[in-house]
Amino acid sequence: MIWIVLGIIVLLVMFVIGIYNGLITARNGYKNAFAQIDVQLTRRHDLIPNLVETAKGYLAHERNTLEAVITARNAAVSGLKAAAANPGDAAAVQNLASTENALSGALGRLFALAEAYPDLKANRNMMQLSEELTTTENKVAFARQAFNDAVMGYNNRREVFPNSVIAGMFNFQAAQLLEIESPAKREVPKVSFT
Amino acid sequence: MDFFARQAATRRLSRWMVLLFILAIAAIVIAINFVVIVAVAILAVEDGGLLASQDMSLAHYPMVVLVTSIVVIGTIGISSLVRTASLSGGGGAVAQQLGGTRVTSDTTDPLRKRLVNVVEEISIASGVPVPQIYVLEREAGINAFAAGHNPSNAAVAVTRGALVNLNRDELQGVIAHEFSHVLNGDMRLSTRLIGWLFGLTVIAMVARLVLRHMPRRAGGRKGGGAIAVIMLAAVIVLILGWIGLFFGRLIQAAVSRNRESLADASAVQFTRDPQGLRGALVKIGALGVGSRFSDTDAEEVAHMLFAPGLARAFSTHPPLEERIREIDPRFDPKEFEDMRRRMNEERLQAQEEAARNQPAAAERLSGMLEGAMVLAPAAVAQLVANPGTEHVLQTQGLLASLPSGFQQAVRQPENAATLFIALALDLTPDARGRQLAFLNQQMGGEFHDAVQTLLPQVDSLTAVQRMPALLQVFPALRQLSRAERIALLKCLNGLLTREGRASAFPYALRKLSQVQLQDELDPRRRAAGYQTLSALRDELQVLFSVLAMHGSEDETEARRAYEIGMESMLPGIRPPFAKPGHWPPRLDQALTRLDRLQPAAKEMLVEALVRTISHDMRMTVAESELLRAICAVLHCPLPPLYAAPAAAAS
Repeated sequence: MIWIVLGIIVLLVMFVIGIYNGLITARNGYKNAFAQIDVQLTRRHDLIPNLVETAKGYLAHERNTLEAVITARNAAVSGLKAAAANPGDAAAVQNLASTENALSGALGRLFALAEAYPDLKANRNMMQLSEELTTTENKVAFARQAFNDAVMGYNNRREVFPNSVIAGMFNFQAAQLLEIESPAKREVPKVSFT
Repeated sequence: MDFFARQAATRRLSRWMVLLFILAIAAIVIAINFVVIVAVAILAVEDGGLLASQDMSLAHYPMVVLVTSIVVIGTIGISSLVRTASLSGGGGAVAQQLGGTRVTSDTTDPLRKRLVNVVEEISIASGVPVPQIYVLEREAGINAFAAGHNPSNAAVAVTRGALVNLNRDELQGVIAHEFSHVLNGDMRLSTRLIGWLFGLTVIAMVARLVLRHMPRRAGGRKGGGAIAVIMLAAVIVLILGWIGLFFGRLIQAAVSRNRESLADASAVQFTRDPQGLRGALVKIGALGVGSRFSDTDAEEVAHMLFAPGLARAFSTHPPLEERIREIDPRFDPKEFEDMRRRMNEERLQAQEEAARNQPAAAERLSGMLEGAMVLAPAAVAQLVANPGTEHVLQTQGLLASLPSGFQQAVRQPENAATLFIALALDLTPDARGRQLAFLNQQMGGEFHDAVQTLLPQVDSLTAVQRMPALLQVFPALRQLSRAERIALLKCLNGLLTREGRASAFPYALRKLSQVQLQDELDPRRRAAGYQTLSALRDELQVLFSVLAMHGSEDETEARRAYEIGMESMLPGIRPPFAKPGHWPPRLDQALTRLDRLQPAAKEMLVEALVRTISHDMRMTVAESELLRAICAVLHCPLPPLYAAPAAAAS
């Protein structure tokens, strides 16, 4: 009799260990996916001071816009730092998303302004920088898809029964999806119906 | 269909392909056996000496069948294996065989940089490692392909036309399409197909060789009969070989069409944006060249391309409109016309913009005239027939800077001839007088006067403008009749002998005109390159002596320049520097012989030329134009060397 009880307990412990390990694997999965985003966002932040420096010569009368970009960039840098320290912290990830969106907005206004300055648009340096920014934003977008898939996998695993009980016991927090809009994609694609 | 289903489908398709391929080989083997048996039977009846008797030959038939089958299967098998082995270098090998140049991520060319970025983006989106990237610089159509055995040795190649005509999103769509081939495991199948197709073609090639090298006539009536039978058999085998090829094309088309639709679907899935791929397909339909390849070797890789590379009976791709409708059911073919108009408008706008920026271009030009360049010899050799975007822009700027009356004159054949001669005249007054007198008697007074009116315009050209101006004239000259061109060549040869103590640059220009005209008249005359550098020692001595003397007034300086160049080519014994006297006729001969160098030797020669010219650590514009003219005479076209790298180097 005692052996049966012992056997059940051992099975139960093994079952719990299995679920626990599964949760850990899923958590490491999304943390790893975040690293890829971290690389690209850092690159984006590094590009912006150069961009502002180049634009400054042409947009002397648009100080406010340029300063807004710098402020938004600095906020995004600290947002990224907090989120990279712990990608599982939902508040930090949410904060990162909002600072990045603010940065995208400020950049969008800067590029809208640049439209009115053909010299700036034709500047070789500016062209290179905007190509670099576009590619980084695209890379962020694609890396974000992988991150969000990983987060969703983790959250699903965490919430189903009986995993939810074990997740509660070991304090597995819900992870946050990252929603960043990229300024390039917000442009309406040119479609002609003629 | 999800990822695994697609891979499973590819594997199923592979098996089908193997089956079809075996069927094709079996059909060929049976057919060829039949032909051989009939031939042997005829020979046996006709000539008792070949096989002793009717019974004996019957006993030999199983042997004949066995040998024929082994030979046919062996030929197909071995040639397939050899071709496959030649591709074992992975996708890069395929791209290089089609003339692709590798692009690395540190490129500074904006268009290439964009390509590298787009490839990196899609590689993140699809989770496939970044493949090698190639650009097919010679292809103006919009096309691309992926090749390789597995994702780790894959290569993605894109044509120049795609790079220039597509915008970022469209390029992304095309690259995503190619990546889905990598991901779905299509490339392995595709690369194998190349080898097998080659195997099937080989039978036809062997038969053609037999036909070509068979003696037409043989002594004796009986021998003649045997040859006739063998010839007939070879013709039939040739036809059978074509049947093999027919099967090959059929398999290729069947495999490819199916894969292409799938790849379009997954491309949209990767980018989550159907507009890019749709735009690229519409542009192919709108562009005059479309997706066509100029290189006919592309036949082999037809099934790998983004869009059909060659027109042919079994299409490797679904029709363009059908592909676009898969993405956007509301597509209307009228859009091709709209897009064509829009692309034309954009081109015109770009031209206007260039015209408005002309003062800037002129400024750059004068900068170029004054600027001296420092160039790495190996880097210059790399540029032969391989211009970058910068060079294309530079050339466009140069052409825009030519006087406007000049540009119109260039397009009409009758004016082109006079302009051509005007450009060829010597700059020194007394030599020019001699040449004009010769012109008067050779071509008539009218021609002479027409040339004379052009002279002020021609003389206003600067050194950098002369060669582009000359190259512009050639297309119009092609429209002249053969007799007219021969007369023109005669006239030019006469002018060359009446040249004064010419400096090297005008000489090289005239020599270039002569070579171009000759090639045009008699394209077959150019012998294939087989000579080595050491065999043409004396010619090299003449060329480098003239070049060195031209570069510096001082004789010791010239001697040094000469040694620097010669040493890199002939490290052992080499002829000493010889101060040239009346060199043009001797250099003429030397250049004609040097044109017969092996390609690798030519590359060394170009490097050595750069070494000699830039021995004083600088290259003036006159020197760089001289280098270009000599390279053109040697049939190694070199783009204009622009001043930008000098700034980077110094």
